[in-house]
Amino acid sequence: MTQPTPEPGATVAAEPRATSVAPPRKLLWWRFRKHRLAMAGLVVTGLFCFVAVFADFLAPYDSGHFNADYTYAPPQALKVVDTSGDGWDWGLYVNGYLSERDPDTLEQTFTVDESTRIPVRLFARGPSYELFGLFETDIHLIGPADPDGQPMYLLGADRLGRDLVSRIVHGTRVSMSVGLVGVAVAFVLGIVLGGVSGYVGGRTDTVIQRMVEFFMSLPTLPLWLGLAAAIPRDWGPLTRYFAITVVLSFVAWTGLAREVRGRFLSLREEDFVTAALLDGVGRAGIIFRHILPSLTSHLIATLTLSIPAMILAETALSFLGLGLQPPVVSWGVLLQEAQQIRVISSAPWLLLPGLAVVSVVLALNFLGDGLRDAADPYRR
Amino acid sequence: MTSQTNDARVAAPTGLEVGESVVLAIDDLRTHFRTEQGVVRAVDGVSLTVPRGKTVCVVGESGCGKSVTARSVLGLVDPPGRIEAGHIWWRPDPGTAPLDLAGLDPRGEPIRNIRGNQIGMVFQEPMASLSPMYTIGNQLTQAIRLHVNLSAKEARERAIAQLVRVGIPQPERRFDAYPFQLSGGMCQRAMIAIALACDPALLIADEPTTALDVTTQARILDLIRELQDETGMAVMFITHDLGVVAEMADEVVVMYLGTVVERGTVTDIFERPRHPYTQALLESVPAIGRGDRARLRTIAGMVPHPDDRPTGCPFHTRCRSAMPGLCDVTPPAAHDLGDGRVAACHLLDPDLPPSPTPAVAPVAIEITEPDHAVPPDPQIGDQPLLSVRQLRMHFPVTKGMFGRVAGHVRAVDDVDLDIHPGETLGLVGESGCGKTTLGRCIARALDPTGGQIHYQDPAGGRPVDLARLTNTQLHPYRREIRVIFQDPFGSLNPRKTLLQIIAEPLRNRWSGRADSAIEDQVAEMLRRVGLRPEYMRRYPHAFSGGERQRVNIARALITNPRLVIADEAVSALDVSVRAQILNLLRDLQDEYRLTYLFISHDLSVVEHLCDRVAVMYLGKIVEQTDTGALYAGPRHPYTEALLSAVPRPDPRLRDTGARIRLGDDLPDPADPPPGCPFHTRCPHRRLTRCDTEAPRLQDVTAGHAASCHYAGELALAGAAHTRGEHGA
Repeated sequence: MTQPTPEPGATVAAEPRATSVAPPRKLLWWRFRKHRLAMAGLVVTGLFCFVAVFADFLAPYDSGHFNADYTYAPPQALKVVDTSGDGWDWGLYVNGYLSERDPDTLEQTFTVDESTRIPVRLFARGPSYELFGLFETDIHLIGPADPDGQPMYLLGADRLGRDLVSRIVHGTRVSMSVGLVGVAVAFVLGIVLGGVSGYVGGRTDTVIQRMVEFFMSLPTLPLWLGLAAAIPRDWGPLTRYFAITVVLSFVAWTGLAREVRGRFLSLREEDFVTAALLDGVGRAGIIFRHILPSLTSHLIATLTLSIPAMILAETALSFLGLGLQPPVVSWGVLLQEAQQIRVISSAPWLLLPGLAVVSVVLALNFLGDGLRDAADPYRR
Repeated sequence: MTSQTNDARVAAPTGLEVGESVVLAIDDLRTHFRTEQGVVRAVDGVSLTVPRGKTVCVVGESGCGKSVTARSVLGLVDPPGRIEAGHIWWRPDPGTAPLDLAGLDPRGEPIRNIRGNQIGMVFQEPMASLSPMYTIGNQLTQAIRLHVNLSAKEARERAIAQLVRVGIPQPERRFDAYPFQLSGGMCQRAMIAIALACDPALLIADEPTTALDVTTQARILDLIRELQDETGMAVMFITHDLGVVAEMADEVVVMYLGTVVERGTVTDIFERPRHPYTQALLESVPAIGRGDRARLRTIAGMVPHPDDRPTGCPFHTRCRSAMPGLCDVTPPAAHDLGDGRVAACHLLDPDLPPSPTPAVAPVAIEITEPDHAVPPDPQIGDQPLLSVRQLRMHFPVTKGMFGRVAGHVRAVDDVDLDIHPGETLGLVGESGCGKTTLGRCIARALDPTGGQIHYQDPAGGRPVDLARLTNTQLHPYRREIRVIFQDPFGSLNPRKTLLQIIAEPLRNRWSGRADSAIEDQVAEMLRRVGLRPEYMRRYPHAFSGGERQRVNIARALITNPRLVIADEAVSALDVSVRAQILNLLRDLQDEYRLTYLFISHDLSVVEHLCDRVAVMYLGKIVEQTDTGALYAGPRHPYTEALLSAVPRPDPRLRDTGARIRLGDDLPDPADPPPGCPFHTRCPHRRLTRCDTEAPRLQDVTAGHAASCHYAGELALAGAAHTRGEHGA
C-alpha cells in the first residue's frame, strides 16, 4: 500500500516536544518536581521510612534497655575532636556525667564531666537483634566503643534511664506502620462502595449514601473507648491496638467513599466513557480500565493525606492512655512520659518525640498536597 | 496632557493618527506572557484604530491574540501577562487629548474609572460572566452606582430603563431574577445592559454570540446595532465567524498569531482581500444558500502554538504563495494600500520585484473536485438502512425530598426518521431541541423510552429493532453504528495512547489485549485520517483540537461501520481546520461507502455536506426533505426563521430582504405548549387551529414533509442566493 499523499489539510505536526510523547505519570512527576515543599516532604518522608525500616540498626540500644543510674540524664553532645590534651585528638566521643544527689530532696542532678571521655564509634557492637528476622547481628550504626562500659545518651534519658534516641527510632517503626492496615482497609472499602454508588446510581446509590451518613454520625472517641474495653485482655498491646484500628477503619471509609462517588458521577458523564460504552466495553471494563485509571493519582494523594491523620490519631490516643500501652514504644507512648509539667521542666528533652510527630505529619501533608496539585496533568 | 498629545503624533510611526474621529487607537501593542516554558508573545505588534461610532470587527482563529488585545485595552490581562510595549490611545471625547491606557496601573483608580464607565465589555459566556449569587438588578445597579452618584431608588429606575432598552420583557420582574432563571439570550441582554449602563463611548464585545443559537445570535446582533445607532458608541467586536463580521463590521481587522495581517473596510476585505491568509480564510467557509457542495479550500496545517511562532512572516508555514528565502526570514512590514487599508505581506511590497504568482489573483492550487454523489448500494436498493419509528426519550423531572416524578422532559417525542444507505442526513435545530438525544438514542448510548429503531442487517434478513436489545445483544451492532463526538478534548481518554483509544472496539472483549494485526490496522486508519502512524503511542494531550477530531474519526471508522453519527463533529473547531475535517468526512464517505447522520446547529455546514435535512423543534421533526429543496423553499415557518437568522459572509446582503426574528426563547420541553409546539413563536400563526390542534408531519410535495397546518399555503423565503455570483 502506497502512502497516500497527504492533502494540503493533513496535519504536519512539529517535531515532538518532550511533553507530547510523555506518558501521564511522567507529566505528573514533572509537575510534582516543580512543587518545592512537596519535594522536601518527599525527602523527609523517605528518611522517616528509612528509619522505620532500619530502626534496629540505627538505634544504639534496643527500646527496653534501661539503666537506673541515669534517670533523666540530659543530652550529651557528640564530639569529633578532643582538644583538652596537647594537640588534636581525632575520634568520636561523648563526655561522661558527674551525678550528685541533693541530700534534702534526694533529687539527682547530672553535670557533664569534661574530663571523662567515653569513646564512641560507628558500626559499634551492642545488643543483638535480628535484621528483618533473617540473620542475627549486633552491629549498630553508632554506639559506645565498649558495649559494657558507660552508656551514651545523645538526646538524654527518661525516668528509667532509657536512651531517648533509641526509643524515638523504635517508635518511628510502630507509629508509622501500626495504622497502615487500617488505612488500607478504609481505602479499599471507600473505593469499592463509593465507586459502586457513583457508577450504578439509583437505589444502590441511595442505600450506600444513607449508610455513609450513619457511619459518619458515630462518635469515634467513645467507640474507641468501648472497643479498648471490649478487646480481650490477654492479647498483646500491639495486637489490641491493631484490632482497634481495623474496626475503626470500618467507620473511616466514609469520607473517601463520598469523594470517589462524586468523581465517578462526573466521569460517568464524560464523552470518553460514553465512547467506551459504544466501543462495546462491558461495565467492569469501563469501571476498571477507563474510570479508575483517571482517579488513581487523586487516590494516591488522598491516601498520602490520610496517613498523617492516622499518625496523629495514634499519638493522641496513646497520649491519653487509650491506644498503645507501655511496653510497646510509639511516639504517643513516649509523649505520655511528658504529661506532667514537673517532668517537662526538669527534662524538656522528653518532648522531642513530639517534634518527630510534627515533622513527619508536615512532610506527609506537603507531599500529599503536591501530589494532589500534580494529580491532574490535563487540567485546562 | 498636551505633551501626551504631541507624543501621540510623534510615536506613531505606522501612520497612526489619533485624530478627532478616532476613539481608540492601538499602536504597536505587545502583550507577552512570561511562563516557565518561555515567553509567549500573545500580542506582538498590533496596530488598529476604532473610529468614533463605527464597528470594528477583529477576526481570526483561536489563539491569534484577539481576546488578549481586547483585555489589554481594559488592563484586564491575567498574570503572568504584561503589556511590554506599545500605546493604547483612548480619546472618548474629541475635545480632550488622548490618554495612553497602556501606561496606566491596571489596578489604579484612573483605569477603573474608564472600565465600565467609558468602555463597556461583553464576554462570550453570558451565564459565566454574571454572578450566580446576585440578581440581575443587583448587578446592574451596582454597575451604575459605581460610576454615577445615584440613590438606590434612582439607580433602580435607571436599571429598569436599561433592561427595557435591551429588550428584556417584563423588566420589573426580571430585575429580581437570578441569572440561572433566564435563558442564555436573556443573560447576554442583561450583560449588554450592564456594559451600556453608563453610556460608554466604546463597547468591546468578545465573541458575544458564539455560545448562543443562531436565532438568538441574530437578535443580539440586531440589538447591538440598534443600540449603536441610538447612542453613537463605537464597537470593537471580536469574533471568529466571518458571517457575523459581514453583518456587523464597518471595518475589519484580520489577526494571525498576535499580529494584524490585514485591515480595511468590510467590503474591501470581503471582496478584494489582499493578504493570503484573509483570502484563504474566506475560501474555507461554506456559504449558506450557495448550493455549493464542492470540496472546501483549506488552509494547510493549523495555527502554531504562540510559543513556537515561525520566524519571518508568521503565516509562511501555511501560506500558498510563500516565497522561500524571504517569507521565512524577514517579517513583512505593514504596507499601506490607501483608503485605510493595511496588509502585512511581502507580496504587496512595491520595492520587491513582481512575484510570479500575484497574491491578488485567486490562487488555484488545490483542484476542486466535482461532487460525485455516492450511488445507493444496489443490493439494498431503496430500503432504508435505519428507520426510526415513534421514538420517544422522556427524562423524568423529580421534585421534593423523595424524588417524586413531577413530569417528563420530552427530549425526543414521536420521531420518525429514515436514513438510506450512502446518504448524509442532516439534523438541525436550536440547542435543547433534542437532536443530540436523538443521536444518542440511535447509537443506543441511551435507552429510549418507547418506539422502534429498525436497523437493516447487512446480511439481509429481517430488520432488527435496536431499541429493544440489551447491552450484550447490541454488541455486534455497536461495530456498525459509530459516533463521532463533538468535544475533541472530553471524548478521548487522556490516560490512553491513540493505539489504545482507537483499538478499543477491536480488542477481545474478555482478554482485552491488542495484537500486532490490530496495530497495523490502527496505523492504516491513522494514515487514512491524515495522521502519522508513528503517533499511535502518544497520548491525546500532544494533539490539537483538529488532530484530536481526526483521532475521533479514526476511532469511529476502525470497525468498518455502515452508519456514522457525527454529533456536532466540527462545531468546536476553527474555520480552517473545520474545512479540513469536512473534506475528510466527505472523502471517507466515498471510500468506505458510509452513511452519515450529521447533527449540527450550523446550517451552512449542513447545506454543504448533507443530501437530506431534518429540522427538529422541541423533540419533534418539523420538516424533512432534500437539502436543495429545503434551503430553496422551506415549508415550515421555523425552518424559514432558522435560515433567515444565519449570518452570511457577504456584507452586501446585510440590508437586503426581510429578516424573521423569532420571539421568546424555547418553551420549556417539560411543558410543551398545546397545539402546534411552535405557535408561541411563529410569525405566521393563525388563530384558528395553531393553538389547539397539533399538526402532523406529512408530505407537502413528494419527499418534502412538514408539520404545519398551512405548509401548502404559506409562501416562505429560503436561503437561495438572489444575487449574482461574485466574490467566490
